[in-house]
Amino acid sequence: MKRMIPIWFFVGCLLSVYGVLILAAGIRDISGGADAGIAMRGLHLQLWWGGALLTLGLIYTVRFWPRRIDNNQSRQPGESVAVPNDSKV
Amino acid sequence: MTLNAGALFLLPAGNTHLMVLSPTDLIIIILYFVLVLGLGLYLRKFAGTSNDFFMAGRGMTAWIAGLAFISANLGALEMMGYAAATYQYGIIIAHAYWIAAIPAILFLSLVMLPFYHICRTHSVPGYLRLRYGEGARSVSAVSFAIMTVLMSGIDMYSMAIVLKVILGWNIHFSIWISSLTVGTYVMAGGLLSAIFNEVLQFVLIWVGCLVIPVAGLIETGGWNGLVHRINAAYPGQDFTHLWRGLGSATSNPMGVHWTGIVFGWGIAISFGYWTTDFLVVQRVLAAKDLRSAQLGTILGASFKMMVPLIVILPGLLALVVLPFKLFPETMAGIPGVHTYNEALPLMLARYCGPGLLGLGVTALIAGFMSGMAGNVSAFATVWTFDIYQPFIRKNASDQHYLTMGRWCSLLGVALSIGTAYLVMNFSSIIVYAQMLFGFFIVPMFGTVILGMLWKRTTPAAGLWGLIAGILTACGLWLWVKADPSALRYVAFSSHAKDMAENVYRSMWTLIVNLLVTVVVSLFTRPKPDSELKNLVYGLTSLPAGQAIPVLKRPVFWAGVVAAAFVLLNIVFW
Repeated sequence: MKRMIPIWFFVGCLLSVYGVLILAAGIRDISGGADAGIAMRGLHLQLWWGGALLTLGLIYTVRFWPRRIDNNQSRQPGESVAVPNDSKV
Repeated sequence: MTLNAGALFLLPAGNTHLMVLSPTDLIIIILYFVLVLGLGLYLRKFAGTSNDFFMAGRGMTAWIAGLAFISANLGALEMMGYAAATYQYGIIIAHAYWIAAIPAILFLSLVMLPFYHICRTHSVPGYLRLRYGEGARSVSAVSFAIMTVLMSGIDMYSMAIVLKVILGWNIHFSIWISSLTVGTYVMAGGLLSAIFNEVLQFVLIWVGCLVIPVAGLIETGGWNGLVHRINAAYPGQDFTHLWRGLGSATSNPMGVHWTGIVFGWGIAISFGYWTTDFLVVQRVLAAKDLRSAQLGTILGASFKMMVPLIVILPGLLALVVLPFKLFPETMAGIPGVHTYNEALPLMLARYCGPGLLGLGVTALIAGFMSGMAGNVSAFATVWTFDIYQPFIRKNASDQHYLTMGRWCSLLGVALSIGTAYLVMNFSSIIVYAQMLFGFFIVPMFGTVILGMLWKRTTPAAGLWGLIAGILTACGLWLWVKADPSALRYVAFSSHAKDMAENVYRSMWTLIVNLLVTVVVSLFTRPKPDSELKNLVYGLTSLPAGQAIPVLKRPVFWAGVVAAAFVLLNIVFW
């Protein structure tokens, strides 16, 4: 039986990597490389945004890790695409 | 509904560009391309039958179907176009997300989806065949196939031109890299690939663009601070009220009366687009059951209500935080001049440092590519089931239609590339293509809804109503083109701008479509009841749903969304 990895797992992985990259760029900017043309630099948006993306990405990656889905749920092919079920709507 | 998006194509193709990407930004963009290609190849093994390929196996949950449904509409073209329009006209553009979306989406969910779902149609033209016969299906299928290819090419070209203006990228490079990527993943996974990418796009657009309102509201001192600064900068002009300036066509910058907003935009265009445009409806038809389709649609409506946060708010913020004014597209190309359509990219460049800028640009690229993929997958479905199967090769094997769908996806991409290059040479075609889109979609609503709710509607009426609607839309457009003073009849005001003309033209189109359908029905022979089972109200067994708890009933959540919709209109009245 084919089991499909949920889209949210891929979303989680992508957000985690993006979070790390943006966080690293933010740290580099703090240490002197910031573009003077950016408004609201004092907010250190890259740090906040990068941190938030990394956190969100990790939550989704762990929550929808393929083996967890396989172990916890028995789905039909095609239905396994999915993810949060109707009851959460 | 990209009523203003045509203007986007007037962006200059000069040598200067708005942003410079860092290596981190480039890595973020490249990672996105790698992921979507990988996803397409991964999903190929799950698209083994035509039902998998064209309808994603009808296995989507409410969340996935709902997010794909709303993402198919949330393209980068629309976002940039409406942010630009907000800079010009103010918060009135939020009507595009509220009155011109929410009632129609809820209507689709509660009234129309049961019919689409129960008759198990593959497409909206497929429903028209069941209800009216081959004539109405042929007209709608052919016009829809042409529209999808046109729109996909327009998405492709607009992405290329925007990337050239923003980043200085070569137009041909952008067209070919995007089309190869989209062609690969749609050919591999069909609707499943398109839906996966739409969900990805939805997430990227939110995380990529939300930074603008957050930073912007902090800079302006919150909503009240923003309103105060707009009023101080533009005395005597109302940029921050939805309805207050709509008492007269002369008292708002769009030149539209409230009747145009309600009947033209809120009913004709909105119901036409949200309930009969197969591009969006296909997403919820892929849901695993009727309740998932209905809940997914309602979920989509709730997200749609929030989109102004990342589109309208940046347009309003641009009015006061940008250190220079933006100008109409007619001034594009003048050194140092930025145009309305650059509002959103300029706001991204204002607040986003390395990394965040790459994320924002990736969000825009994802929006364009998923727009292309949506159109290509819808084209493949309509071509295979509504043109190829009935007219070219009936009764072939499932595998044959699956193979046809895969090659048709590639054909759709190839035609889109052709359209993109055609558009490049004749830029005004794009503006007309946007209007053609409205010409063919709006009349569909009258034909479909009368067919669903009135069993007396006859096959001849379905066909002639559709044709009369299309001819009315084309005729009104040509009339105003030939004689601009005709605007005072078509749009009730000679002050009407393009958007106002569009909404009133759509209103007349729907009225004629409904009238012709009713009149022809009264003089022609209807189908017997036995042929209308599961297609028409009164002859269809709709699921009762009493056994479901209140919190899981679509009608309950539709009520919640409707209440939020009313509240938003009161708050921003």
